[in-house]
Amino acid sequence: MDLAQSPADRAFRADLRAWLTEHAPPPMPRAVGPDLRARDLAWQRSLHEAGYAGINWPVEFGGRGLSLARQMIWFEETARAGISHVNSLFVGVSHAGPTIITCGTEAQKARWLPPILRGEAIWCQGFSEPEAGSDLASLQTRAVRDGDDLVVNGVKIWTSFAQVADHQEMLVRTDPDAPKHRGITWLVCDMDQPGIEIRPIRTLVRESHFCEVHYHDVRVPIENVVGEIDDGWRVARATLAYEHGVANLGQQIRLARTVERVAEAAEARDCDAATWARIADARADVASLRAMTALMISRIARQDLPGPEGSLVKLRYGEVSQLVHTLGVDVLGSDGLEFVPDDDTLVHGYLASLAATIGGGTSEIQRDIVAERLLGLPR
Amino acid sequence: MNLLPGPDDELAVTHARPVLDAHFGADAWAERLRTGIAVPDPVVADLTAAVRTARSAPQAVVVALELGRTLAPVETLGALIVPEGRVALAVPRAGGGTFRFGAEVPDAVVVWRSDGVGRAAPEPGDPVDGVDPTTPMWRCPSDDAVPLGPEIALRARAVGAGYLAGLAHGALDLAVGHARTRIQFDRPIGANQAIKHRLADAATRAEAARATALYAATALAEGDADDGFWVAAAARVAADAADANARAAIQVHGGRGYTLDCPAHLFLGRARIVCALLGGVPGIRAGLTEAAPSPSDPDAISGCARR
Repeated sequence: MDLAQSPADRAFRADLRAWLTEHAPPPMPRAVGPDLRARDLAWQRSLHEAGYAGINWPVEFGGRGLSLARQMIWFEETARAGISHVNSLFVGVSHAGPTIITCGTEAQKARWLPPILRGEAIWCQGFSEPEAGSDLASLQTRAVRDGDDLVVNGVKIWTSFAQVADHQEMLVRTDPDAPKHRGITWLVCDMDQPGIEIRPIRTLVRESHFCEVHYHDVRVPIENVVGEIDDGWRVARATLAYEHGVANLGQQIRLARTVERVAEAAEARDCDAATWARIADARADVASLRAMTALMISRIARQDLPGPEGSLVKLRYGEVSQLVHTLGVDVLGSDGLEFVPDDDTLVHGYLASLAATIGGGTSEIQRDIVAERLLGLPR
Repeated sequence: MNLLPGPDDELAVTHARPVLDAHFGADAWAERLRTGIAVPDPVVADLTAAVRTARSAPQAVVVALELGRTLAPVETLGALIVPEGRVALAVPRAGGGTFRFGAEVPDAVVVWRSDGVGRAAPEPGDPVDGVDPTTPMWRCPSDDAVPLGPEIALRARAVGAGYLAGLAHGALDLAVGHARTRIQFDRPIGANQAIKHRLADAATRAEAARATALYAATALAEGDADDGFWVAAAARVAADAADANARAAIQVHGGRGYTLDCPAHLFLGRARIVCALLGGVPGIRAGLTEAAPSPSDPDAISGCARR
């Protein structure tokens, strides 16, 4: 066992830290609009110029092909520099791009991949529907063949940054008579066309990147289908694996920083022993997340593919995140009643933490996965 | 970075395996609880000799994990702290003196205090009926001990955390085995989400405890600037996991879980004892606060984690 990094790892970290000091992007604008789009694309271009674009992508597709340990350094250092990974680039870089690399044709790769890394295109995701949440495969958005096009009708939900996206990775039902996991197709829908109506959703943190997207006779060329028609569930599994993979490695760093900010606030407010006991526990809990992440990475390095153990980390992260942020607003007392629309405040973090046990697969679904796939309990 | 124990880390586990398999499997514990026959002294001596082969902090913590998982006697942890014969473990009592765990006449005694561990000469004690009926326990008049120094104190705490993390795993395994096979309403009780989710939470706690114990052991071995924090964190996470998972195991076993014949309570009693050795939850928390974030080495991973 070792925690040590090789000299090359240390050099990578030092170079990255120095580069981030000079090149960290400006804070994200609150409003999801042209300013946010310009900011995110400029950040991606800056990464591309410096050779930091696509750290998780194979070298042959313009990425860096970094080991998981290096990717963890990347996420740690960017989190340390206060850069949020929740931005409009996430879908393209972290799962749409990798899915196309795995399942797309040569023509599709040539068409869609370079603009993602070069900071020329923003992607969004159209998977969930109002009636297909945890049970994703029950999705109902229809696509009917008409000549060389598929004609799409339906509704998608929780689509982050739909307002500023160029393309959408999308799941549609192409065969309503097949069993629900068959008859699904994975396609790329261009967002700038008639029949697409984007409705932003207000959330606990008020203005939000979430949208509901409605499709009225939207035409998608057959050449935009990734994988085969009716074989989209297989492609979607790849997408979900990338989405849930290692993209959140840096989140425990942010949480560790939050605990120390809570401790500072407690110091300033002369909090009681019971509060300090909770802070001590929170420090231990956050440390355990780091250790679990390290253990998960060690396993993936040995087995070469992520197993259901990832659900253990996600479950724990959700619990600990809410515990830490609840502690934060408890420490603030009446000061915690004022909502400040800024990602960096404890109040914002508190409200946002409620999503940690819902997004990316609810904690209930994660518990089912752990119980059935890891513990071997009957379905 | 790698937190998976390799063959070298598992050295003492390899040595202990034959004794653990022969005398500390599920069947052996069921038989022991049914007959009331204690673990024979020669078995404890054999196991102690095998455990004593651990040298490095990872070897010590990795074998402690396995000792906890299999409910090996608490006193075997003593061999990882003072490698001399049978070593009993003792914790000071509020009213003076100690409670001592292990052999009636040990070769040495390790006393766990809030400020570290110390070594004491064995003295005669009065037998006590303890919270764990399978751990021999004695009331002793003196709590005098010669301090063993901060390095050994840290190793002792890491070993205690490892044992607690092992208990959390053992309790989980026991509960899962029952949930798979116990039939009610014509199906295994583990098919119900109420049981599944309780056990998924137990698995999460066990994984957190194991990962943090392994991280702390590795930090100790590498002389990490924050090793004291990692050991304290491992103790806190493992104390919680061992207690909560023992409770979960008892609950999942239903009425049978409340009986002395079911091994589930062994995990609870052992967790109480080892948590007390570590200073109890308040003592563990105090250690966490003392060892809290030092932004010493900004390039070290742990330093980075907490800046």
